[in-house]
This record gives sequence, C-alpha cells and structure tokens, in this order.
Amino acid sequence: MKYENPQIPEGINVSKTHPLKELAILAGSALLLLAVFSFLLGHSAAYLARMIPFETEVELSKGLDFSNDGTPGVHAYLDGLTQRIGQTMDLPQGMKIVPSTIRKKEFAMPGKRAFHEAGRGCPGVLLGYAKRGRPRVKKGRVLRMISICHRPLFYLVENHPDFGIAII
Amino acid sequence: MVNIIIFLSLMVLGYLFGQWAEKRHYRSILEREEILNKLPAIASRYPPADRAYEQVLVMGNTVISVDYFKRFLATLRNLFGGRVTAYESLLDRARRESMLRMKSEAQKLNADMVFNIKYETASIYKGRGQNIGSVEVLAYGTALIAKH
Repeated sequence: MKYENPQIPEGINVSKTHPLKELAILAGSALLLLAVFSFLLGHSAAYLARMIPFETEVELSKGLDFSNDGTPGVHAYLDGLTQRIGQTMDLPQGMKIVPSTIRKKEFAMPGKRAFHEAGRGCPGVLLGYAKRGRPRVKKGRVLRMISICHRPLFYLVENHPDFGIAII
Repeated sequence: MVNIIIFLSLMVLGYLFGQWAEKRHYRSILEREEILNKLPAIASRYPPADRAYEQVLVMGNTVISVDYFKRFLATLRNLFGGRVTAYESLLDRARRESMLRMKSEAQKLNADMVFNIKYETASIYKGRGQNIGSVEVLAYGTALIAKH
C-alpha cells in the first residue's frame, strides 16, 4: 500500500475576513447597541425615576450634603419657597424638602457641575425639570446632563429672576 | 483618557506585531511543509503489514499566545456569537507547527512514515477574566522505521 499526504489548499481552516473589517463590524454594532440603549434610558429616565421607592432614595442619598452657600437673600427665598411647597404638597411621611438653586448658566452646562451646585452632587433627571419648569435652556444641552438618579426627588419649582432656577 | 490611550496603543501594537508574527510563521510553515511532505503522516491505527517496522513514539509540541488585538476581537465576538475567526489562525498555526515538529523528529529517526497521528490541545494560561491566553497543541504518533 502506498501512503502519501496530498498538498491541502491554504485557507480551509482560517477565515478570509480581514481582522480590521471584523473589528469595524463588531465594534460598530456594539456602539450602535450602546447608543440605542443610552437613548432609550435617557428618554425613559424621568418615568423610571418615579418608580424608585422613597425608602431607596433616602438610602441612596445618605451622606450627601445639601447645604447651600448662597447669600442671606437666597436663604430667605428658599425658606419661603420650602414653606409654600410644604403647604401645597401632600408629602409622604419622612420626606423632607431640600431646596437649592442653580444659575441658568450652570444649568446649561454639560457635565456634573449643575448637579454639584444643586446640592453637592445630588443627581436628578434634568429632562424632567425642563419639561416641568420649562426653563430657557436648549433641550440638547439639557439632554447631555441626564443621569441615572441617586436621588430623583428634584423638581424645578421656580425660575426666579434674581436667584436662578430653584429646585427641590 | 490615559486608559483609552493605553488601550488603543495595545490594540495597534497587538495588531501590527500579531500580523507580522503570523505572516512570518505561515511562511515558515509552508516552506517546511513542502520539505516534509515526503514523509507521510497517517491517522490510521493499523500500520502496513508488508514488512517489519521498528516503532517509535514521536511528538511535537507548540505553545502559541494570542495577541491583544485578537483577544479583544474574540471578546467582542462573544457578545454576538458566531465564528471566533480571531482564534482560527492561532489554532491552525499551532496544529501545523506541532505536526511539523513531530515529522521533524520522525525524519531524524529515518522513519518511513508516521502512523496513528493524534492531537491534544490545552489552554495553559487563562489570562484575565478567563480569556484564552496561550494554547498548547501536542501532536503525536508512531514513527515506523523499516528494519533492514
């Protein structure tokens, strides 16, 4: 019996797809999925934030500092605002009103500064504020500031001509 | 930002060096395969009964590591499923290199052929996150040396 090994053609066990092409397809698909997910999350954040139980919000907001560095005028304005809200809103037991202010410029800035100014890093759904309060902020800029809420208790209450946007 | 730069640098280096090493290895494999093609390597378990042979175990072992670019590509592929083409060439090279080393050993013994060829594979280093790091492929068989 004669034994021999014929020459096997190249490329039978190896894919001919260029690795860079495969990378482009896979990375592009992953980025597209991520973009769609972020878009859906961004648009549903205001709705989802309302479904978080108050106890969870309280737990998440522990350790956050809500003090304001404003002038006495600002403090007086916020105290008055707190009283007015407290009288009109039927808040659950244990829920405190913590008002804060941000200036329009800061509100329009992308990133975390608006949150920081609004109470030492208390994030909220700014799209929700924009819808409720209709501040004069471009929607595109507000959208960039959308974040997952640690403490989604913020609502735009007033757009004061002197003190800026008041939120709680 | 620093992490992104490190990641991109590793990707570029992995791709360039990986492609260079792969092409060079394939060139070497093709050259040696042509030379050693005269020595038949058969998977059959039954040696020819036409004459008496001295039987010697021969083996060839290869360990090949995967580059950063391919590892990332394979991780992306794991998200979507399908053929992990990034590893195909890696394993193909390891198999063929092991076979060549085994045949070289048989040739040194003046063997007429190698019978009962088998492969064993093992992942000898998992790497971070249980990714494949290095692959070992062992080819072994029985070299038949004609008795004079």
